[in-house]
Amino acid sequence: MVSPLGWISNDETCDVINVVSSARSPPKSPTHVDSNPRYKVSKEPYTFTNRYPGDPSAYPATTFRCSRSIVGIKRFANAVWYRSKAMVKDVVTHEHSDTLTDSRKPHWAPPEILEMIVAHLAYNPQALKACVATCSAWYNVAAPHLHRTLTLRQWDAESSHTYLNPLEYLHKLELLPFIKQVQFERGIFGTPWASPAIFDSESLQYFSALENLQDLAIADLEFFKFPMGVGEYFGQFSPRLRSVTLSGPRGTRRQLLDFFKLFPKLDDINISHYYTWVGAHHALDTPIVPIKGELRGQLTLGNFGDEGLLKDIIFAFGGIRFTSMDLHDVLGTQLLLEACVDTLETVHIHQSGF
Amino acid sequence: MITQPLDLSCNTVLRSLEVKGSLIAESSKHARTIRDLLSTITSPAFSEVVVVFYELDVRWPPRGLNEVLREMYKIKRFRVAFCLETQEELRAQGLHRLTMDTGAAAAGGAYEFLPSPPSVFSRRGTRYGRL
Repeated sequence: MVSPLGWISNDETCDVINVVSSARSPPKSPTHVDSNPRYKVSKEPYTFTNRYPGDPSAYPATTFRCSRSIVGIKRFANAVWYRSKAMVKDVVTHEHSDTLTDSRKPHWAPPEILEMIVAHLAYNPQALKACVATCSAWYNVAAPHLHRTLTLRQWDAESSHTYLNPLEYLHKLELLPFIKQVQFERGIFGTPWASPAIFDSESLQYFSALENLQDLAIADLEFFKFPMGVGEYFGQFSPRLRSVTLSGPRGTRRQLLDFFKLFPKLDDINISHYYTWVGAHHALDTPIVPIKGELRGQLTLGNFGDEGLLKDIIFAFGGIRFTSMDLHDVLGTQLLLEACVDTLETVHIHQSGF
Repeated sequence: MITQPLDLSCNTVLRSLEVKGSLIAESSKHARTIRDLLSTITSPAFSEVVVVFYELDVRWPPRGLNEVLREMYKIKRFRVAFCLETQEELRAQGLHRLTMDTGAAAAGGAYEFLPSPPSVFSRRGTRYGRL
């Protein structure tokens, strides 16, 4: 026999039944009760506990303590009868009800809708933190947005080995795969800090765990501090990096070009505060080896004064196919416009010299 | 920095030209340069001029912008869109203000020379400066 909320055995040898069940998920078969730990069968004498579905205040839990007297048996039989009747009604209603409108069932938005909702909060960290603390479903959707950008800063002028500590913490929390953008911010003590001294073997291992990194932004990168080249440090991002931002880079034209050539999948380039920088570099006069590149996203240049680097990029990548350009005080603007005659759709030009 | 005039006649699929709102309204020299640039466009796909505002611009909308746009419209036909470049924290307030100002100006006939009133949208700021 089936009660509204659980299975009640007809076995006369089982004279004590205590059924405690969830009001929202009545079992449909005895096997369900047997396998469900929420339905407990105890040996406490003559105790029957039941909870009706719906509002607990409207259907308070009732407990019957039945003696071996006739009255007790009648009460027990009545209780079983009415609960059986209610269970039948519940099953019938359940089978014919629309699952989306059944108020007794938990309502979850489809994952696609949930993703759209959370995407609107992508730049609201407080809201995202609230989302990840809600439940596992919301965590799965909100966590990639919350941990999308990792910003590395110079915390202490003397402790360069600690600058990449956030990588270690995120690795312990298994959050590194969520990161799609890494920013090396400008040094707060006026000196560039992105140098080989901050990269040890452990941090390079963490770099390799950034398996979904697409956007790399580095401020004040001094290429001449990397005598063996920057490929050893940033080359791990080669297969997947789509966007590179360099703010105030210091290096020769060839050093910058070699850096960009590390990333054949590159779509977007953003360079600001770069002027022709003549420095000693052993590969300055060697021929440029072209690669099969992409460069079909957005080019953003601000305060840029090296037209030769633009020519080298065009040659090294086998041409450029940018669809959007944002050019703010750029030497070589016309060169860029003519290099993208068949692809450029949007252009923003601002020249102080106008 | 730039000495030679720019030429967009080679760009055959150009759809949109973006200009800085406060600059073209306040600098007649810059406005003239943009008009010259506009006159070089030959792309059949060209249809839009996006006037970009920054956070501070919205608090003080540039005066005379509609006159500059009117002069530009005489050279080439286009739709106008106002874009607010801002940080996320200020986006809602700034966009609301820009929308209200644009609506009021359109209702007053400031953009009657356009086929439709300017549309308004926002986006995250471009990183020109140092990180």
